[in-house]
Amino acid sequence: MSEFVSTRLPPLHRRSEVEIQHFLRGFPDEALSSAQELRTRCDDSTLETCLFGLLTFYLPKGTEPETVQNLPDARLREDLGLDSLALSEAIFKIEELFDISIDNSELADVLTIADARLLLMEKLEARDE
Amino acid sequence: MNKVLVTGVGFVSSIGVGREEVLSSLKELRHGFALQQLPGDGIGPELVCGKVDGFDFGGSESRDWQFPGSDELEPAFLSCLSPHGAFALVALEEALDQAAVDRADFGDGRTGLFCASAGSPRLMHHHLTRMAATGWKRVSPTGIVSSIPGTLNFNLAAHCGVRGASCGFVSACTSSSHALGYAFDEIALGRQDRMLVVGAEEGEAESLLPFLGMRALSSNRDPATASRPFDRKRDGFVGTGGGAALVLESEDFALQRGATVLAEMRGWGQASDGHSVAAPHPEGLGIRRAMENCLDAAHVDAGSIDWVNAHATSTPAGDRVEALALKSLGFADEGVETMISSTKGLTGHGLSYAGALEAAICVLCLTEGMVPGNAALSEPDPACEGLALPTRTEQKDLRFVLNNNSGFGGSNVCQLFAKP
Repeated sequence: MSEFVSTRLPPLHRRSEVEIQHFLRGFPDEALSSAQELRTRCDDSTLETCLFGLLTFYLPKGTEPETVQNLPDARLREDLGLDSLALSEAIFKIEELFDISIDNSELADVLTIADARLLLMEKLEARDE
Repeated sequence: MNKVLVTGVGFVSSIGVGREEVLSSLKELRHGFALQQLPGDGIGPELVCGKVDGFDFGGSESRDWQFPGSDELEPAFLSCLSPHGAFALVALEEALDQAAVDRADFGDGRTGLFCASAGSPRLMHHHLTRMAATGWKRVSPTGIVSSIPGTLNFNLAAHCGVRGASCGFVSACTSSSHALGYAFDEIALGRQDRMLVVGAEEGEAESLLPFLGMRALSSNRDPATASRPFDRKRDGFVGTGGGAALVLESEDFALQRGATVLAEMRGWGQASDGHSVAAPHPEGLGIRRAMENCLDAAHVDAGSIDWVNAHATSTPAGDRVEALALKSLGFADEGVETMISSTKGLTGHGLSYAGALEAAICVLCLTEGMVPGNAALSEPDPACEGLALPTRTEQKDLRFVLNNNSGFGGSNVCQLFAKP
Protein backbone atom coordinates (compact mmCIF):
# COMPACT_ATOMS: atom_id res chain seq x y z
CA MET A 1 0.00 0.00 0.00
CA SER A 2 1.24 3.46 -0.73
CA GLU A 3 1.96 5.78 2.14
CA PHE A 4 -0.53 8.60 2.39
CA VAL A 5 0.25 11.86 4.08
CA SER A 6 -2.53 14.37 3.98
CA THR A 7 -1.68 17.99 3.66
CA ARG A 8 -5.27 19.10 3.77
CA LEU A 9 -8.43 18.08 5.52
CA PRO A 10 -10.95 16.07 3.59
CA PRO A 11 -14.12 18.07 2.88
CA LEU A 12 -15.76 16.72 6.00
CA HIS A 13 -14.72 19.82 7.89
CA ARG A 14 -17.54 21.62 6.11
CA ARG A 15 -20.12 19.31 7.66
CA SER A 16 -21.45 19.69 11.18
CA GLU A 17 -21.28 16.90 13.72
CA VAL A 18 -25.06 16.51 13.52
CA GLU A 19 -25.01 16.31 9.72
CA ILE A 20 -22.46 13.52 9.77
CA GLN A 21 -24.36 11.69 12.48
CA HIS A 22 -27.49 11.83 10.33
CA PHE A 23 -25.66 10.94 7.13
CA LEU A 24 -24.10 7.82 8.63
CA ARG A 25 -27.00 6.66 10.80
CA GLY A 26 -27.08 2.89 10.89
CA PHE A 27 -23.44 2.55 9.80
CA PRO A 28 -20.84 0.82 12.01
CA ASP A 29 -19.65 2.88 14.97
CA GLU A 30 -16.09 3.10 13.63
CA ALA A 31 -17.35 4.69 10.40
CA LEU A 32 -19.22 7.33 12.37
CA SER A 33 -16.51 8.10 14.92
CA SER A 34 -13.73 8.26 12.31
CA ALA A 35 -15.84 10.54 10.08
CA GLN A 36 -16.38 12.84 13.06
CA GLU A 37 -12.64 12.86 13.65
CA LEU A 38 -12.01 13.72 10.00
CA ARG A 39 -13.87 16.98 10.52
CA THR A 40 -10.90 18.39 12.42
CA ARG A 41 -7.96 16.13 11.73
CA CYS A 42 -6.95 13.99 8.77
CA ASP A 43 -4.48 11.18 8.87
CA ASP A 44 -3.93 7.98 7.01
CA SER A 45 -5.31 5.62 9.62
CA THR A 46 -8.48 7.60 10.40
CA LEU A 47 -9.31 7.87 6.71
CA GLU A 48 -8.68 4.16 6.34
CA THR A 49 -10.90 3.32 9.31
CA CYS A 50 -13.67 5.45 7.85
CA LEU A 51 -13.45 3.75 4.45
CA PHE A 52 -13.41 0.29 6.03
CA GLY A 53 -16.43 1.16 8.16
CA LEU A 54 -18.36 2.32 5.10
CA LEU A 55 -17.54 -0.85 3.15
CA THR A 56 -18.41 -3.05 6.12
CA PHE A 57 -21.98 -1.74 6.07
CA TYR A 58 -22.53 -3.24 2.62
CA LEU A 59 -21.03 -6.66 3.34
CA PRO A 60 -23.42 -9.62 3.13
CA LYS A 61 -24.70 -10.65 6.55
CA GLY A 62 -22.43 -13.22 8.18
CA THR A 63 -19.20 -11.72 6.80
CA GLU A 64 -16.74 -10.90 9.52
CA PRO A 65 -16.11 -7.11 9.54
CA GLU A 66 -12.47 -7.77 10.44
CA THR A 67 -11.98 -9.18 6.95
CA VAL A 68 -12.05 -5.67 5.57
CA GLN A 69 -9.29 -4.47 7.83
CA ASN A 70 -7.10 -7.54 7.93
CA LEU A 71 -7.12 -8.62 4.32
CA PRO A 72 -6.16 -5.66 2.15
CA ASP A 73 -5.83 -7.92 -0.86
CA ALA A 74 -9.33 -9.38 -0.42
CA ARG A 75 -11.28 -8.89 -3.63
CA LEU A 76 -14.42 -6.82 -3.23
CA ARG A 77 -16.63 -9.01 -5.39
CA GLU A 78 -15.23 -12.51 -5.20
CA ASP A 79 -13.95 -12.60 -1.61
CA LEU A 80 -16.24 -10.17 0.18
CA GLY A 81 -19.38 -10.94 -1.84
CA LEU A 82 -20.18 -7.32 -2.72
CA ASP A 83 -22.26 -7.46 -5.89
CA SER A 84 -22.33 -4.65 -8.43
CA LEU A 85 -25.31 -2.96 -6.79
CA ALA A 86 -23.81 -3.08 -3.30
CA LEU A 87 -20.54 -1.71 -4.70
CA SER A 88 -22.40 1.07 -6.49
CA GLU A 89 -24.20 1.94 -3.27
CA ALA A 90 -20.92 2.04 -1.36
CA ILE A 91 -19.30 4.27 -4.00
CA PHE A 92 -22.31 6.57 -4.01
CA LYS A 93 -22.04 6.91 -0.23
CA ILE A 94 -18.31 7.64 -0.40
CA GLU A 95 -18.84 10.24 -3.15
CA GLU A 96 -21.50 11.98 -1.10
CA LEU A 97 -19.58 11.90 2.16
CA PHE A 98 -16.29 13.19 0.75
CA ASP A 99 -17.86 15.35 -1.94
CA ILE A 100 -15.87 13.73 -4.72
CA SER A 101 -16.86 12.27 -8.08
CA ILE A 102 -15.51 8.94 -9.23
CA ASP A 103 -15.71 8.13 -12.95
CA ASN A 104 -16.48 4.65 -14.23
CA SER A 105 -13.04 4.53 -15.87
CA GLU A 106 -11.40 5.04 -12.47
CA LEU A 107 -13.24 2.03 -11.07
CA ALA A 108 -11.95 -0.41 -13.66
CA ASP A 109 -8.78 -1.10 -11.65
CA VAL A 110 -10.44 -1.20 -8.24
CA LEU A 111 -10.59 -4.88 -7.45
CA THR A 112 -9.42 -5.12 -3.83
CA ILE A 113 -9.81 -3.25 -0.56
CA ALA A 114 -6.32 -1.85 -1.01
CA ASP A 115 -7.27 -0.56 -4.47
CA ALA A 116 -10.33 1.19 -3.03
CA ARG A 117 -8.25 2.79 -0.30
CA LEU A 118 -5.67 3.98 -2.82
CA LEU A 119 -8.28 5.49 -5.13
CA LEU A 120 -9.98 7.37 -2.29
CA MET A 121 -6.72 8.83 -1.12
CA GLU A 122 -5.70 9.86 -4.62
CA LYS A 123 -9.07 11.54 -5.16
CA LEU A 124 -8.76 13.45 -1.91
CA GLU A 125 -5.24 14.56 -2.70
CA ALA A 126 -6.20 15.69 -6.19
CA ARG A 127 -9.52 17.35 -5.36
CA ASP A 128 -10.04 21.00 -5.94
CA GLU A 129 -10.62 23.08 -2.89
CA MET B 1 -55.76 -27.65 -19.44
CA ASN B 2 -54.36 -28.08 -15.94
CA LYS B 3 -56.59 -27.40 -12.97
CA VAL B 4 -55.28 -24.41 -10.95
CA LEU B 5 -55.33 -24.51 -7.16
CA VAL B 6 -54.62 -21.89 -4.53
CA THR B 7 -52.37 -23.17 -1.75
CA GLY B 8 -51.32 -19.99 0.04
CA VAL B 9 -52.42 -16.42 0.66
CA GLY B 10 -50.73 -13.55 2.49
CA PHE B 11 -51.95 -10.15 3.62
CA VAL B 12 -50.57 -6.76 4.55
CA SER B 13 -53.60 -4.53 4.70
CA SER B 14 -55.34 -1.77 6.55
CA ILE B 15 -57.57 -4.39 8.22
CA GLY B 16 -54.69 -6.51 9.37
CA VAL B 17 -51.30 -8.01 8.71
CA GLY B 18 -51.71 -11.75 8.31
CA ARG B 19 -54.69 -14.01 7.76
CA GLU B 20 -55.89 -14.08 11.36
CA GLU B 21 -56.18 -10.31 11.69
CA VAL B 22 -57.83 -9.94 8.30
CA LEU B 23 -60.32 -12.70 9.06
CA SER B 24 -61.20 -11.15 12.40
CA SER B 25 -61.75 -7.72 10.80
CA LEU B 26 -63.94 -9.20 8.08
CA LYS B 27 -66.05 -11.04 10.63
CA GLU B 28 -66.45 -8.04 12.88
CA LEU B 29 -66.65 -5.48 10.04
CA ARG B 30 -63.73 -3.54 11.51
CA HIS B 31 -62.45 -0.98 9.02
CA GLY B 32 -58.80 0.05 8.71
CA PHE B 33 -59.19 3.81 8.25
CA ALA B 34 -58.00 6.93 10.02
CA LEU B 35 -58.15 10.62 9.25
CA GLN B 36 -54.57 11.48 8.29
CA GLN B 37 -52.70 14.47 7.01
CA LEU B 38 -50.86 13.71 3.79
CA PRO B 39 -47.92 14.08 3.54
CA GLY B 40 -47.85 15.07 7.18
CA ASP B 41 -45.89 18.27 6.58
CA GLY B 42 -48.39 20.60 8.20
CA ILE B 43 -49.57 21.81 4.81
CA GLY B 44 -51.11 18.80 3.09
CA PRO B 45 -54.80 18.01 3.23
CA GLU B 46 -56.46 15.77 5.79
CA LEU B 47 -58.05 12.69 4.27
CA VAL B 48 -59.45 9.43 5.48
CA CYS B 49 -56.98 6.76 4.31
CA GLY B 50 -56.14 3.17 5.04
CA LYS B 51 -53.60 2.72 7.83
CA VAL B 52 -51.30 -0.31 7.85
CA ASP B 53 -49.97 -1.10 11.32
CA GLY B 54 -46.50 -2.45 12.05
CA PHE B 55 -44.67 -0.69 9.21
CA ASP B 56 -42.68 2.48 9.81
CA PHE B 57 -41.47 4.15 6.63
CA GLY B 58 -40.37 7.40 8.23
CA GLY B 59 -37.26 8.85 6.61
CA SER B 60 -36.35 8.81 2.98
CA GLU B 61 -33.95 5.89 3.09
CA SER B 62 -34.80 2.25 3.61
CA ARG B 63 -32.21 1.81 6.37
CA ASP B 64 -34.50 4.01 8.51
CA TRP B 65 -37.52 1.75 8.04
CA GLN B 66 -38.85 -0.82 10.44
CA PHE B 67 -41.13 -3.64 9.41
CA PRO B 68 -41.49 -7.34 10.20
CA GLY B 69 -38.23 -9.05 9.25
CA SER B 70 -36.43 -5.85 8.20
CA ASP B 71 -33.53 -6.45 10.59
CA GLU B 72 -32.66 -9.71 8.85
CA LEU B 73 -32.41 -8.24 5.34
CA GLU B 74 -29.12 -7.42 3.65
CA PRO B 75 -28.59 -3.63 3.51
CA ALA B 76 -27.95 -3.85 -0.23
CA PHE B 77 -31.29 -5.63 -0.79
CA LEU B 78 -33.11 -3.31 1.58
CA SER B 79 -31.87 -0.31 -0.38
CA CYS B 80 -33.58 -1.74 -3.49
CA LEU B 81 -36.97 -1.83 -1.82
CA SER B 82 -39.68 0.77 -1.79
CA PRO B 83 -42.28 0.94 0.97
CA HIS B 84 -44.67 -1.15 -1.09
CA GLY B 85 -41.82 -3.57 -1.77
CA ALA B 86 -41.71 -4.17 1.97
CA PHE B 87 -45.48 -4.75 2.01
CA ALA B 88 -45.11 -7.21 -0.87
CA LEU B 89 -42.24 -9.09 0.75
CA VAL B 90 -44.08 -9.60 4.04
CA ALA B 91 -47.28 -10.73 2.26
CA LEU B 92 -45.34 -13.14 0.06
CA GLU B 93 -43.53 -14.67 3.02
CA GLU B 94 -46.87 -15.41 4.68
CA ALA B 95 -48.31 -16.98 1.52
CA LEU B 96 -45.20 -19.14 1.03
CA ASP B 97 -45.30 -20.27 4.64
CA GLN B 98 -48.96 -21.24 4.37
CA ALA B 99 -48.30 -23.15 1.15
CA ALA B 100 -45.39 -24.89 2.92
CA VAL B 101 -43.28 -24.39 -0.19
CA ASP B 102 -39.68 -25.56 -0.33
CA ARG B 103 -37.97 -22.45 -1.66
CA ALA B 104 -35.05 -24.48 -2.94
CA ASP B 105 -37.43 -25.64 -5.69
CA PHE B 106 -37.62 -22.15 -7.16
CA GLY B 107 -34.34 -22.74 -8.91
CA ASP B 108 -35.71 -25.45 -11.20
CA GLY B 109 -37.52 -23.01 -13.48
CA ARG B 110 -40.99 -24.46 -12.80
CA THR B 111 -42.02 -21.64 -10.44
CA GLY B 112 -42.79 -18.18 -11.80
CA LEU B 113 -43.61 -14.81 -10.32
CA PHE B 114 -46.09 -12.21 -11.59
CA CYS B 115 -46.38 -8.90 -9.78
CA ALA B 116 -48.42 -5.73 -9.98
CA SER B 117 -47.17 -2.35 -8.91
CA ALA B 118 -47.61 1.27 -9.82
CA GLY B 119 -44.04 1.91 -8.76
CA SER B 120 -43.11 4.21 -5.96
CA PRO B 121 -44.04 7.81 -6.74
CA ARG B 122 -42.58 8.77 -3.36
CA LEU B 123 -39.12 7.38 -4.07
CA MET B 124 -39.18 8.59 -7.67
CA HIS B 125 -39.91 12.09 -6.38
CA HIS B 126 -37.20 11.79 -3.73
CA HIS B 127 -34.46 10.56 -6.08
CA LEU B 128 -35.20 13.04 -8.86
CA THR B 129 -35.36 15.96 -6.44
CA ARG B 130 -32.04 14.93 -4.94
CA MET B 131 -30.49 14.44 -8.36
CA ALA B 132 -31.64 17.87 -9.53
CA ALA B 133 -30.01 19.38 -6.43
CA THR B 134 -26.63 18.00 -7.57
CA GLY B 135 -27.02 19.42 -11.07
CA TRP B 136 -28.27 16.02 -12.31
CA LYS B 137 -24.85 14.51 -11.60
CA ARG B 138 -25.43 12.18 -8.71
CA VAL B 139 -28.22 9.74 -7.92
CA SER B 140 -28.58 6.65 -5.80
CA PRO B 141 -27.71 3.54 -7.81
CA THR B 142 -30.83 1.85 -6.46
CA GLY B 143 -33.08 4.78 -7.40
CA ILE B 144 -34.42 3.01 -10.48
CA VAL B 145 -34.91 -0.53 -9.23
CA SER B 146 -36.62 0.70 -6.08
CA SER B 147 -39.03 3.08 -7.72
CA ILE B 148 -40.13 2.10 -11.22
CA PRO B 149 -43.23 -0.07 -11.69
CA GLY B 150 -41.27 -3.32 -12.16
CA THR B 151 -39.72 -2.94 -8.72
CA LEU B 152 -41.66 -5.83 -7.19
CA ASN B 153 -40.76 -8.43 -9.80
CA PHE B 154 -37.12 -7.28 -9.97
CA ASN B 155 -36.65 -7.56 -6.25
CA LEU B 156 -38.78 -10.55 -5.36
CA ALA B 157 -37.59 -12.75 -8.24
CA ALA B 158 -33.97 -12.12 -7.27
CA HIS B 159 -34.59 -12.40 -3.52
CA CYS B 160 -36.53 -15.67 -3.81
CA GLY B 161 -34.32 -17.16 -6.51
CA VAL B 162 -37.22 -17.60 -8.94
CA ARG B 163 -35.99 -18.93 -12.29
CA GLY B 164 -39.31 -19.40 -14.06
CA ALA B 165 -41.36 -16.64 -15.70
CA SER B 166 -41.25 -13.24 -14.03
CA CYS B 167 -43.10 -10.19 -15.16
CA GLY B 168 -44.88 -7.08 -13.94
CA PHE B 169 -48.36 -5.94 -14.88
CA VAL B 170 -49.50 -2.35 -15.13
CA SER B 171 -53.18 -1.65 -15.76
CA ALA B 172 -53.98 0.66 -12.85
CA CYS B 173 -56.65 -0.85 -10.60
CA THR B 174 -56.80 -4.12 -12.54
CA SER B 175 -53.01 -4.66 -12.41
CA SER B 176 -52.91 -7.45 -9.89
CA SER B 177 -56.09 -9.00 -11.30
CA HIS B 178 -54.28 -9.22 -14.61
CA ALA B 179 -51.22 -10.68 -12.89
CA LEU B 180 -53.45 -13.33 -11.32
CA GLY B 181 -55.25 -14.07 -14.57
CA TYR B 182 -52.11 -14.52 -16.61
CA ALA B 183 -50.55 -16.56 -13.80
CA PHE B 184 -53.59 -18.84 -14.06
CA ASP B 185 -52.88 -19.22 -17.79
CA GLU B 186 -49.23 -20.11 -17.18
CA ILE B 187 -50.32 -23.07 -15.09
CA ALA B 188 -53.41 -24.02 -17.10
CA LEU B 189 -51.29 -24.17 -20.26
CA GLY B 190 -48.59 -26.22 -18.58
CA ARG B 191 -45.88 -23.59 -18.84
CA GLN B 192 -45.28 -23.49 -15.08
CA ASP B 193 -46.15 -25.75 -12.16
CA ARG B 194 -46.41 -22.95 -9.66
CA MET B 195 -46.95 -19.20 -9.82
CA LEU B 196 -46.43 -16.61 -7.11
CA VAL B 197 -48.69 -13.61 -7.57
CA VAL B 198 -48.03 -10.42 -5.67
CA GLY B 199 -49.67 -7.01 -5.73
CA ALA B 200 -48.68 -4.04 -3.62
CA GLU B 201 -49.33 -0.36 -3.46
CA GLU B 202 -47.74 2.43 -1.48
CA GLY B 203 -50.81 4.44 -0.47
CA GLU B 204 -48.69 7.42 0.53
CA ALA B 205 -49.18 11.10 -0.30
CA GLU B 206 -47.45 10.91 -3.68
CA SER B 207 -49.63 7.95 -4.70
CA LEU B 208 -52.97 9.20 -3.43
CA LEU B 209 -53.02 12.99 -3.59
CA PRO B 210 -52.96 13.16 -7.42
CA PHE B 211 -56.42 11.55 -7.30
CA LEU B 212 -57.64 14.81 -5.74
CA GLY B 213 -57.20 16.34 -9.17
CA MET B 214 -59.68 13.84 -10.54
CA ARG B 215 -62.04 14.53 -7.63
CA ALA B 216 -62.08 10.78 -7.06
CA LEU B 217 -61.29 10.72 -3.32
CA SER B 218 -63.93 10.86 -0.61
CA SER B 219 -64.04 14.18 1.24
CA ASN B 220 -65.97 12.59 4.09
CA ARG B 221 -63.85 13.04 7.25
CA ASP B 222 -65.54 10.26 9.20
CA PRO B 223 -63.46 7.05 8.98
CA ALA B 224 -66.58 4.99 9.71
CA THR B 225 -68.49 6.17 6.65
CA ALA B 226 -65.98 7.61 4.16
CA SER B 227 -65.79 4.34 2.18
CA ARG B 228 -69.36 3.17 1.61
CA PRO B 229 -69.71 1.26 -1.64
CA PHE B 230 -73.22 1.16 -3.14
CA ASP B 231 -74.55 3.76 -0.67
CA ARG B 232 -76.48 6.77 -1.96
CA LYS B 233 -74.21 9.14 -0.03
CA ARG B 234 -70.90 7.75 -1.30
CA ASP B 235 -68.64 10.51 -2.59
CA GLY B 236 -65.38 8.89 -3.65
CA PHE B 237 -62.90 6.23 -2.69
CA VAL B 238 -60.66 5.91 0.34
CA GLY B 239 -57.12 5.03 -0.70
CA THR B 240 -54.87 2.55 1.02
CA GLY B 241 -51.49 0.91 0.72
CA GLY B 242 -50.64 -2.70 1.41
CA GLY B 243 -49.62 -5.95 -0.20
CA ALA B 244 -51.23 -9.28 -0.99
CA ALA B 245 -49.86 -12.55 -2.31
CA LEU B 246 -51.23 -15.84 -3.61
CA VAL B 247 -49.54 -19.13 -4.41
CA LEU B 248 -51.11 -20.96 -7.37
CA GLU B 249 -50.18 -24.51 -8.31
CA SER B 250 -51.28 -27.08 -10.84
CA GLU B 251 -53.43 -29.79 -9.33
CA ASP B 252 -50.92 -32.53 -10.14
CA PHE B 253 -48.03 -30.61 -8.67
CA ALA B 254 -49.89 -29.60 -5.50
CA LEU B 255 -51.31 -33.06 -4.81
CA GLN B 256 -48.01 -34.76 -5.54
CA ARG B 257 -46.29 -32.79 -2.82
CA GLY B 258 -49.21 -33.14 -0.43
CA ALA B 259 -50.12 -29.45 -0.32
CA THR B 260 -53.22 -28.26 1.52
CA VAL B 261 -55.63 -26.86 -1.05
CA LEU B 262 -57.49 -23.68 -0.10
CA ALA B 263 -59.50 -23.10 -3.26
CA GLU B 264 -59.62 -23.76 -6.95
CA MET B 265 -59.23 -20.85 -9.33
CA ARG B 266 -61.68 -22.02 -11.95
CA GLY B 267 -61.16 -19.31 -14.57
CA TRP B 268 -60.97 -15.66 -15.40
CA GLY B 269 -62.15 -13.19 -18.01
CA GLN B 270 -61.47 -9.67 -19.09
CA ALA B 271 -63.02 -7.03 -21.34
CA SER B 272 -62.53 -3.33 -21.96
CA ASP B 273 -65.10 -0.55 -22.13
CA GLY B 274 -63.57 1.13 -25.18
CA HIS B 275 -65.18 4.28 -23.92
CA SER B 276 -63.17 6.69 -21.74
CA VAL B 277 -59.76 6.93 -20.11
CA ALA B 278 -61.27 7.48 -16.68
CA ALA B 279 -65.08 7.20 -16.69
CA PRO B 280 -66.71 3.77 -16.80
CA HIS B 281 -69.04 2.82 -19.61
CA PRO B 282 -72.46 4.20 -18.56
CA GLU B 283 -74.11 0.78 -18.63
CA GLY B 284 -71.11 -1.17 -17.38
CA LEU B 285 -70.56 -2.89 -20.71
CA GLY B 286 -66.96 -3.87 -19.99
CA ILE B 287 -67.45 -5.24 -16.50
CA ARG B 288 -70.50 -7.19 -17.65
CA ARG B 289 -68.55 -8.80 -20.48
CA ALA B 290 -65.61 -9.53 -18.18
CA MET B 291 -67.97 -11.42 -15.88
CA GLU B 292 -69.56 -13.24 -18.83
CA ASN B 293 -66.16 -14.23 -20.19
CA CYS B 294 -65.11 -15.46 -16.77
CA LEU B 295 -68.28 -17.52 -16.27
CA ASP B 296 -67.91 -19.02 -19.76
CA ALA B 297 -64.27 -19.90 -19.17
CA ALA B 298 -65.12 -21.50 -15.82
CA HIS B 299 -68.22 -23.27 -17.17
CA VAL B 300 -70.33 -21.94 -14.30
CA ASP B 301 -73.80 -20.32 -14.56
CA ALA B 302 -74.34 -16.90 -13.04
CA GLY B 303 -77.14 -18.38 -10.94
CA SER B 304 -74.63 -20.67 -9.19
CA ILE B 305 -72.50 -17.82 -7.85
CA ASP B 306 -72.82 -17.48 -4.08
CA TRP B 307 -70.98 -14.22 -3.62
CA VAL B 308 -69.57 -11.46 -5.80
CA ASN B 309 -66.75 -9.45 -4.25
CA ALA B 310 -67.53 -6.33 -6.24
CA HIS B 311 -64.99 -3.81 -7.41
CA ALA B 312 -67.26 -1.01 -6.06
CA THR B 313 -64.85 1.61 -4.72
CA SER B 314 -67.44 4.03 -3.35
CA THR B 315 -67.31 6.40 -6.33
CA PRO B 316 -70.68 7.61 -7.60
CA ALA B 317 -70.20 6.49 -11.21
CA GLY B 318 -68.26 3.24 -10.72
CA ASP B 319 -70.55 1.60 -8.19
CA ARG B 320 -73.63 2.48 -10.22
CA VAL B 321 -72.45 0.90 -13.46
CA GLU B 322 -71.22 -2.22 -11.70
CA ALA B 323 -74.65 -2.58 -10.09
CA LEU B 324 -76.24 -2.24 -13.53
CA ALA B 325 -73.88 -4.86 -14.96
CA LEU B 326 -74.63 -7.26 -12.10
CA LYS B 327 -78.36 -6.80 -12.67
CA SER B 328 -77.98 -7.37 -16.40
CA LEU B 329 -76.51 -10.79 -15.63
CA GLY B 330 -79.51 -11.71 -13.51
CA PHE B 331 -78.02 -11.23 -10.05
CA ALA B 332 -81.10 -9.21 -8.98
CA ASP B 333 -83.62 -11.65 -10.41
CA GLU B 334 -86.20 -13.22 -8.17
CA GLY B 335 -85.03 -16.43 -6.59
CA VAL B 336 -81.34 -15.65 -7.13
CA GLU B 337 -79.47 -15.86 -3.83
CA THR B 338 -76.15 -14.36 -4.89
CA MET B 339 -74.83 -11.93 -2.30
CA ILE B 340 -73.02 -8.82 -3.46
CA SER B 341 -70.59 -6.88 -1.31
CA SER B 342 -67.46 -4.82 -1.65
CA THR B 343 -64.72 -5.37 0.89
CA LYS B 344 -63.37 -1.91 0.04
CA GLY B 345 -65.86 -0.65 2.61
CA LEU B 346 -63.39 -2.08 5.15
CA THR B 347 -60.01 -2.10 3.42
CA GLY B 348 -60.23 0.98 1.21
CA HIS B 349 -59.16 0.95 -2.41
CA GLY B 350 -55.71 -0.56 -2.90
CA LEU B 351 -55.44 0.55 -6.57
CA SER B 352 -53.00 -1.79 -8.31
CA TYR B 353 -53.00 -4.20 -5.38
CA ALA B 354 -56.80 -4.31 -5.05
CA GLY B 355 -57.22 -7.37 -7.28
CA ALA B 356 -54.76 -9.55 -5.41
CA LEU B 357 -56.06 -8.39 -2.03
CA GLU B 358 -59.67 -9.09 -2.92
CA ALA B 359 -58.87 -12.42 -4.59
CA ALA B 360 -57.04 -13.48 -1.43
CA ILE B 361 -60.05 -12.35 0.62
CA CYS B 362 -62.29 -14.49 -1.63
CA VAL B 363 -60.08 -17.50 -0.92
CA LEU B 364 -60.14 -16.78 2.81
CA CYS B 365 -63.94 -16.48 2.79
CA LEU B 366 -64.32 -19.72 0.80
CA THR B 367 -62.29 -21.59 3.40
CA GLU B 368 -64.19 -19.98 6.27
CA GLY B 369 -67.66 -20.16 4.70
CA MET B 370 -68.60 -16.52 5.09
CA VAL B 371 -69.64 -13.45 3.13
CA PRO B 372 -68.32 -10.11 4.42
CA GLY B 373 -70.99 -7.45 4.76
CA ASN B 374 -71.07 -4.03 3.13
CA ALA B 375 -69.63 -2.28 6.14
CA ALA B 376 -70.93 1.27 5.92
CA LEU B 377 -73.97 0.73 3.72
CA SER B 378 -77.07 2.32 5.20
CA GLU B 379 -79.06 3.53 2.20
CA PRO B 380 -78.47 1.59 -1.01
CA ASP B 381 -78.32 3.46 -4.30
CA PRO B 382 -81.57 2.90 -6.25
CA ALA B 383 -79.43 1.47 -9.06
CA CYS B 384 -78.82 -1.52 -6.76
CA GLU B 385 -82.50 -2.41 -6.41
CA GLY B 386 -82.98 -6.15 -6.25
CA LEU B 387 -79.33 -6.98 -5.47
CA ALA B 388 -78.73 -8.77 -2.17
CA LEU B 389 -76.37 -6.43 -0.32
CA PRO B 390 -75.70 -7.83 3.16
CA THR B 391 -74.74 -5.26 5.76
CA ARG B 392 -73.42 -7.84 8.21
CA THR B 393 -70.96 -10.64 7.68
CA GLU B 394 -72.91 -13.84 7.22
CA GLN B 395 -71.90 -17.46 7.58
CA LYS B 396 -72.62 -19.24 4.32
CA ASP B 397 -71.25 -22.36 2.74
CA LEU B 398 -69.73 -21.00 -0.45
CA ARG B 399 -69.21 -22.99 -3.62
CA PHE B 400 -68.48 -20.33 -6.25
CA VAL B 401 -67.24 -16.77 -5.75
CA LEU B 402 -66.58 -14.02 -8.30
CA ASN B 403 -64.05 -11.25 -7.86
CA ASN B 404 -64.41 -8.08 -9.96
CA ASN B 405 -61.91 -5.33 -10.66
CA SER B 406 -62.01 -2.34 -12.98
CA GLY B 407 -59.39 0.24 -13.85
CA PHE B 408 -58.48 3.25 -15.96
CA GLY B 409 -59.09 2.99 -19.65
CA GLY B 410 -62.15 0.84 -18.99
CA SER B 411 -60.11 -2.24 -18.16
CA ASN B 412 -62.18 -4.93 -16.41
CA VAL B 413 -61.12 -8.29 -14.99
CA CYS B 414 -63.12 -11.00 -13.23
CA GLN B 415 -61.96 -14.25 -11.59
CA LEU B 416 -63.94 -17.22 -10.34
CA PHE B 417 -62.85 -19.17 -7.28
CA ALA B 418 -64.44 -22.44 -6.22
CA LYS B 419 -64.45 -24.56 -3.12
CA PRO B 420 -61.99 -27.41 -3.79
